[in-house]
Amino acid sequence: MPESAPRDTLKTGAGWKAAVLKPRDRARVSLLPVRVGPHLVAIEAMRIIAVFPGAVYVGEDDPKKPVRRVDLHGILGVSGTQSCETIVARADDRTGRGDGPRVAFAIDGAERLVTLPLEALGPFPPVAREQIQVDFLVGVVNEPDRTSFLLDPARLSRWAAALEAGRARGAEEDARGR
Amino acid sequence: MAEGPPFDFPEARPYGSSQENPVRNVESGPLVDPADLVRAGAEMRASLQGDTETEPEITLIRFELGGEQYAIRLEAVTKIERVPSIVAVPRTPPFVKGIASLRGEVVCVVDLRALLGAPSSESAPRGLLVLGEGPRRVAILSDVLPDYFRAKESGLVPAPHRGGDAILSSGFERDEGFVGVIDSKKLMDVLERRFDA
Repeated sequence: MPESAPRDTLKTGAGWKAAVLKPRDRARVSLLPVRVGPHLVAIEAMRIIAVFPGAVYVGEDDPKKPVRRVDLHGILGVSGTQSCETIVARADDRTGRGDGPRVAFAIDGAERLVTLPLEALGPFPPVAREQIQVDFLVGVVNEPDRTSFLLDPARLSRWAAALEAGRARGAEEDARGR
Repeated sequence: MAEGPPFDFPEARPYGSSQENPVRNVESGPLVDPADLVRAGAEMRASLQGDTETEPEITLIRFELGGEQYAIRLEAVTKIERVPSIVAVPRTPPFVKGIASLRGEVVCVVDLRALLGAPSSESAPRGLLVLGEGPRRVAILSDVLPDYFRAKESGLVPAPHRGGDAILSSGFERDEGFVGVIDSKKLMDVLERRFDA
């Protein structure tokens, strides 16, 4: 399999540079809307490091920049399409390409970057907030013509870690039971 | 010198005892007889008591799920809408159909079919009832556009036992069939309880 390389355009257009160069604009937020199965989720652009072609992240692991691979489709219970891409994002509360943990997950396609006023972001409405079973979808992005869910990569990484730990513990208990 | 009163003085009579009551005989017209006042007061009291004994009616918004009819008190319904575009929320129980933006306000849309044990319907839902205010707002789907009816509270009968009896304990027997009445407060309590997706 050929080595993955970041895409040239990232489908983010001119807004990408603007988002990176103007981090002090606190009244607005730049988001990358991505499709995961039938769902549209948005990720804060500042937390994304790269978008790679393919459903599997095959980049080299730097001990200072460990990458956790997460099956987002599996966690959300949806199936992926042929045109999968992989997002690598920061798995801590920092931004930029410096040292620190990362999280990689497959998506079904990224759209163009959007810059929205902070008022477009809000929490889940009652009932949905109580009933949603994952904590990495942290809110709702309400654009005039569509609605998406805000995904926090750091929480996704922690969720996946807990899931792995739970599975490992379960496997251990199964082994002891035998 | 003749004996007798020096002037003609009318004989004193008890008030109201005769047609010759001097007060009634004045030319300026009759004054209100206290007896009339007492009688009018009695009639007024009787009519007021009659009003309180008449049971006031309640207004209910009727909706439909899988051919079964349900209703919810008007006070619990904030607005009625046509079904907007609904965005499915991942990893939620089946009764959470998703979220919808109603003129900029995002609400959770719920299909009560699973909670009430109502059968599924072939046609797409057409109506949406928005319940509650502020932090407890939720929208429920209806197969038809909701309408309303008025009924006396004493007409409520216990609902037949079914899966959703926690939120549906009573209803009305009407010409068109049984209309189950949903307790909006209990409904919110159930919806905010954690379910497994």
